[in-house]
Order: sequence, then structure tokens, then C-alpha cells
Amino acid sequence: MEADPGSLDDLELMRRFQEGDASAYEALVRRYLDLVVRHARRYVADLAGAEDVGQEVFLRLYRSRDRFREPNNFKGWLVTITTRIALNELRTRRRKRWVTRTSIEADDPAQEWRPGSDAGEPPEEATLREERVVAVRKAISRLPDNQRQAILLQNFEDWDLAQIGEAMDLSVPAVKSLLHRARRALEAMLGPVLGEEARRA
Amino acid sequence: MNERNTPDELPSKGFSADAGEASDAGEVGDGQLDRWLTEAAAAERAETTVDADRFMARLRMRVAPMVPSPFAERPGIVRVFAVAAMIPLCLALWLCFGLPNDGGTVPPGGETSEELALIDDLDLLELLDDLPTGEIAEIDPDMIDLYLHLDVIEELPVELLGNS
Repeated sequence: MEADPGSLDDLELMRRFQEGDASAYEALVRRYLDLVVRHARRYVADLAGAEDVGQEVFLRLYRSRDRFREPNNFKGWLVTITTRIALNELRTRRRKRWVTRTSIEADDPAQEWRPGSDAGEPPEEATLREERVVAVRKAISRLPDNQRQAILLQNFEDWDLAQIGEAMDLSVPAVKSLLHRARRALEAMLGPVLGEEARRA
Repeated sequence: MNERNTPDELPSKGFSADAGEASDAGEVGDGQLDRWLTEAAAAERAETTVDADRFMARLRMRVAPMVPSPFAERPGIVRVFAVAAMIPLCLALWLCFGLPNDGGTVPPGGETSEELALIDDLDLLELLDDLPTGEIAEIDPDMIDLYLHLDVIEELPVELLGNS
């Protein structure tokens, strides 16, 4: 009996996909769709734009299936490609906005992407939480690209150091160093904004 | 690959010993930072939901034009031979249907040289007389060859001779 593609690991799905199994491709897309769109949204902010980036990522996967040589690091490859395509999209948008002389403020993820409130949460608490989330996102968006990616993969995707290293083509000590610098930078940026609240807490 | 962060490596994912504490105003501890990051991550997950079926339907439409042709699945050398074999076939078709039956060249008007020979010299001269100078200058150079062939060169305006 044929195994359900959704139950197979990435390696087996890639092998089947490379042999022309369309259901394996679809299983891979469904498995990593959320990760790719979520990661893209960290750069392009709006959900529709992030989905467009996701389409390009999976289209590129389809086109390059014969040349794909990293099935062991499929997740890392996806994140790397997603980052590149999302940054390209961001650059294209900035160029267009510059040409049309509109504000580039909207490129700031914190400007377009505001968190929703939890049901049942007191309004004052919800407002404070929203402000914290916006401040954190804004600070992360100001990090250099490599620091941003490392901190997002560790804290937003729960990846371990080795996984981050594979995705970013870095050694584990290099990832540690990168994360250390990223955290210090975040603390420096968030300190003035949220330090008072932290002290009150 | 699946090495996990140990407390030794990353205390509360940070690197300093002040986990969970924020000191004076304006300073943020690692524990504090971790909580804020966790909060932001949770908010992000709650907000980013993708309709997988709609996404797949759109992706299928974009992938569909790339469905491989019968040749695409063959090894590269077979594809090269298939293309090479088509060249003489196309050449043969072109020779059979691409040239006029008498083997001659076709002038712009589509008439053969035999048909052209039937054109009355006088009709041409009348035509040229009726045309303003500007229009004569725009006559196709190929037509001037025709006029030369019909021995009416002496009658052509100077501007026209300059174009030939």
C-alpha cells in the first residue's frame, strides 16, 4: 500500500518529487507553507506580499528539482531562498515608492503589521502587549540581515544552533556570536523604549 | 542536525547571567528580552494563517504550463538528435512549399517576371506623370529596377534616380 506523502520525511519526499511524483511536491509545499509565508512576512510585512514570495519560492523549488543537491537541508534551503526573494521584493517596492515619491514608512513592518488582541484580555493589558510587540518587531527589522535571520530562526521558529548554522552556512560558534551581537543590539534598542515598563514590572 | 540548545550554551536563549531581571530603567535583561521575543513570536503565529488550498490552487496554475513535453523526460542526447532530425525535414518542407514553382524570385507585388513583362510601358509613364514628386521619391527601390527593366529610365524624374 502506498504511504501517505504527508507522513514521509523531507528526504523521501524530495526523492519522490525528483522522480516526478506530484503528490510529493504538494506534500512538501503544504508542510512548509506556513514557515515560508511567515518568514517572508517578516520582511515584506503584508500577508498578500508574503504569499506572493511564497509562490515564487515553491515555483523555484519546482523548476530546480533536477538540480537540487541539498535534500538533507531542505528547511534551511527554503529559508535561505525565502529570505533572498523577500529582500528582492522589498528592494523592488522601495524603488517603486521612491519613483512615485510616496513615503517609505510603510516598508516598516511594525507600521503595517499590528498584532491583534486576545479575547478576554483587559484592554489596557492588550494595548501594552501590542506596544511591546510592535517595538520588538521594529527593533528586529533594524538589525543587519544576518543578525535578523539568526534571531528570528532561534526565537520565532525554535531552531537550534546547528540548524541555524546549516541554513546560514555558518559554524555553531559563529551562530552563537551572531546571536550574541543581535541580542545586545536588541537590548540597546529596546532599553529606552521598554526599560521603564520593565522597571515598573 | 538536531542539536538542541542546552542551558550551558544559551541560558534562556541569551548569554548573560541576569536572566529574568531588568535592572535600572533603560536596561533590558536577557530574561526580559526572551519574554518579549516569545510574545512577539506568538502574536506572529496567531496572525499569519494561510489558506493552503487556495495557495496550492494558485501554485498549480503556475506550475501547469511547465508540464514537461514528451522530449523533456528523455536524456539530453536524445533531445539533441530529435532536434537535429527536424532540420532536414524543415528544409525539405521549405524547398517544396516555400519557393514559387518556376524557381524565380517574387517581386514586391507578387507578380512573376513573365507577368511583369506584360505591363505596358505607356501605362507606367502615365502613372509616373500623375504622381507628385514627393510620392515618386518614396517609390520602392525594387520598383525602380522594374522601370529600368522596361527601358523607361529616361522618363524618370531626377529624384527617383537618386534613390536607386
